[in-house]
Amino acid sequence: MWGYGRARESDRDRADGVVLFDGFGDTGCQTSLMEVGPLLETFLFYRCRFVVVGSAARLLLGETVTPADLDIVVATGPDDRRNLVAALRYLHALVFDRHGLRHFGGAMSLPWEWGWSVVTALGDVDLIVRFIDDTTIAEHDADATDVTLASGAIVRCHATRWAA
Amino acid sequence: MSAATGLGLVEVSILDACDRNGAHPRAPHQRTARILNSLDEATGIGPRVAYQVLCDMARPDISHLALIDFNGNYGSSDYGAASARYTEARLTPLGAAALAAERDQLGALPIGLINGNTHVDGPRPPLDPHRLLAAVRAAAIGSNDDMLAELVGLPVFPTGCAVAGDQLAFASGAVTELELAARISPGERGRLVISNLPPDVGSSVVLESIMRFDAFDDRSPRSSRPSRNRRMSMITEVDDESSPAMGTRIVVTLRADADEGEAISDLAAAWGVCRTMSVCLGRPVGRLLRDWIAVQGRTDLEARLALIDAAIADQAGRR
Repeated sequence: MWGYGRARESDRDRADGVVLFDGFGDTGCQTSLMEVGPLLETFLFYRCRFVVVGSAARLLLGETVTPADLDIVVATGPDDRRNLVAALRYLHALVFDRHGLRHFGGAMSLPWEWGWSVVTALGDVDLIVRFIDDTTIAEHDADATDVTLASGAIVRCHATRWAA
Repeated sequence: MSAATGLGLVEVSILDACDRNGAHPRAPHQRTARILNSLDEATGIGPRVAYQVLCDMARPDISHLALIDFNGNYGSSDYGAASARYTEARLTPLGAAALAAERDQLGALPIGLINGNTHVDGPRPPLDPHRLLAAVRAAAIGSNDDMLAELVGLPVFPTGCAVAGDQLAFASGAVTELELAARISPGERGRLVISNLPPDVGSSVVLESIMRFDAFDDRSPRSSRPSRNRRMSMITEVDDESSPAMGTRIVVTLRADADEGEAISDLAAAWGVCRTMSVCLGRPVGRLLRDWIAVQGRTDLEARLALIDAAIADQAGRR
């Protein structure tokens, strides 16, 4: 079902066994609005801890839906934050703030209490820290199911009906 | 602006929409999108505008008196709120009282006088709720203008920033320029903690401002800004440790040989750490309060002010 484009040879050394995809190749991705697979591969490559929720999770679990964005619940320990920031920098993510879209990086304060949205070339990503029912990655991970991507990598998915 | 509460039309309409949708103080929160849709249908006020106002009515860094009890991410000075589909809201007890006042079921409440409207670029600043209530009580028993001006004092912003300005000019109702400054205090192990930022200033702005300052140090051969930037280069690290529990907390780590006093004075000049704001009450304080009492009447005045007292205590408890 999923095709993830071409792995770059230069990335294989850096990837420590995990192949990083460039995301711009012949993906064959089934979603018309965004490239879920390459985004997930990038987060995995940077060792981010996350659970996919919302419509992207339902898609990965086999439902026929077209996600408009990728919703992931993220862990926020010190290492997790560093890894997530590195992944977003690699993706050249733009962050929505009060002043509009800003390049990710430099002097930036991130709202780690609730989460935030970014725009990438592969699609929009909602990074969620906490839901309004006070659930975090711990609760969603407990209810999540493993989904194996075409590359063999495993992502945790929890098919919530609505996210954020 | 409503005479009964001092609230704007959109604010009153939002309270009304909450009430129509059963978002009462003791009822469960209602999905914000539902409230906004109902508001749109009833009044034509679109969700984009109304949502921002609704969030502001709940944010403790914007309003001394919260009229909306919000569940979810209502945003900050840096970031917007989460989508209205994913947040919930209901009236606070004071919000319900304000709505009752608007419907003439209750006497007037001085909410607008306390909350001000500078967060929407208005000239009327927020006032210290305790002092304002004391001034209203004093005005009711006929205290003179000087005493009322002394009781009201200078504006007090919910962020807790330091405020300096000409108190006499402010009390006379003239346009007054206030200097607003964050608080900078020494932390542990050669660190400085910046907290209580001025209103409408986010942590990102301050971080960027400090980093930009630091970039122009003497390592740059073209630097033409020697003294201040040489001192700013004494900073080794800037961290944002802000959280809802701790409030705004930007931690600046200094080099071991840094002079703390010099660093504090340089940081105090960074954009965002200090700013100015022009405010205006429109009328002398004494006249403003006496007019308010004359128009709104003295009937049940103490009971109405007690409602505000309870709301202040409730909000302090939430913080």
